[in-house]
Amino acid sequence: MTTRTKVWDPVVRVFHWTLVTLFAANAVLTDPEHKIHHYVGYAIAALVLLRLAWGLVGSRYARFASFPPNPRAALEQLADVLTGRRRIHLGHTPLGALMIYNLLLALAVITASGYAMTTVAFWGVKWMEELHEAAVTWAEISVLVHVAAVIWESRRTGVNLPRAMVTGYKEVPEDVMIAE
Amino acid sequence: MIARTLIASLALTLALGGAARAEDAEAALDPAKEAQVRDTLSQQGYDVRSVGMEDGRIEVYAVKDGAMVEIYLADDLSIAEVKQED
Ligand code: HEM
Repeated sequence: MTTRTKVWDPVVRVFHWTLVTLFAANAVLTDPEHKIHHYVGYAIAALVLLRLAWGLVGSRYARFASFPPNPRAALEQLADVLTGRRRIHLGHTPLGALMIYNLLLALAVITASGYAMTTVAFWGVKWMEELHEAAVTWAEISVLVHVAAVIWESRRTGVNLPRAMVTGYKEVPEDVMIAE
Repeated sequence: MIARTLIASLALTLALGGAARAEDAEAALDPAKEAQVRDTLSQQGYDVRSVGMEDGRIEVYAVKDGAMVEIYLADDLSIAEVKQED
């Protein structure tokens, strides 16, 4: 038996999968010197801004207030991982929250530096290009860790997290403790 | 199994993107030559921002009269092509 709980509203889900598509497009496919790379970058910036606003006024689990950065809780979750204790969080987990802030910040740096590279003030300025590339590399490593962690935690807790990000519902096995 | 395949292909894809970016970097330019390029172009009114190599040609990022340009040089360091960013 499982209990179904609605956690991710449509804005969060559409935000997530649009972001995944656009990020992948600019990381792998588009030519940075081409206009398309710039437009996709603006779209990502708009998505991040939208998500920041939604973090203030969105539904319960979408709000930043429901997943504040909490190092102590993150360490507890790490202890759960290491000891194999099955406890789940209905919204974002404490470690997940840290990763989300990290990703949003990295995306902000990428889009801001990318835009700067197209302005007269920073045109051809090497350090801005290097900042842009370093932030991209950091975001890519973060995405790998993010996806690995999502898969790991899905297996550990028995809750299919990617599916929840598609359907909006977390399906929690009945024998699992809910942390909050 | 699926998970491992997913992570592996994701890592590979990102590595490919990284390799494509690294290609742009290419070999560094001889500093004396770079100084000469900066000199000549400055005299022609360009605000030279950076000098590098692209596809075997010297490529310069510069600004002139508020316009952002990429300049490609011929082997004798004369201007072969000016691309304006719009
Ligand atoms: C196939 C690849 C991916 C999968 C399967 C995936 C899966 C997920 C899942 C399941 C969550 C919710 C975690 C939770 O339950 O707390 C999540 C959240 C998130 N992911 Fe991903 N992700 C992927 C790629 C990416 C990429 C490429 C980015 C950004 C570049 C990204 C950025 C985010 C962000 C910002 C959140 C927070 C969502 C929000 O609250 O708005 N993800 N992801």
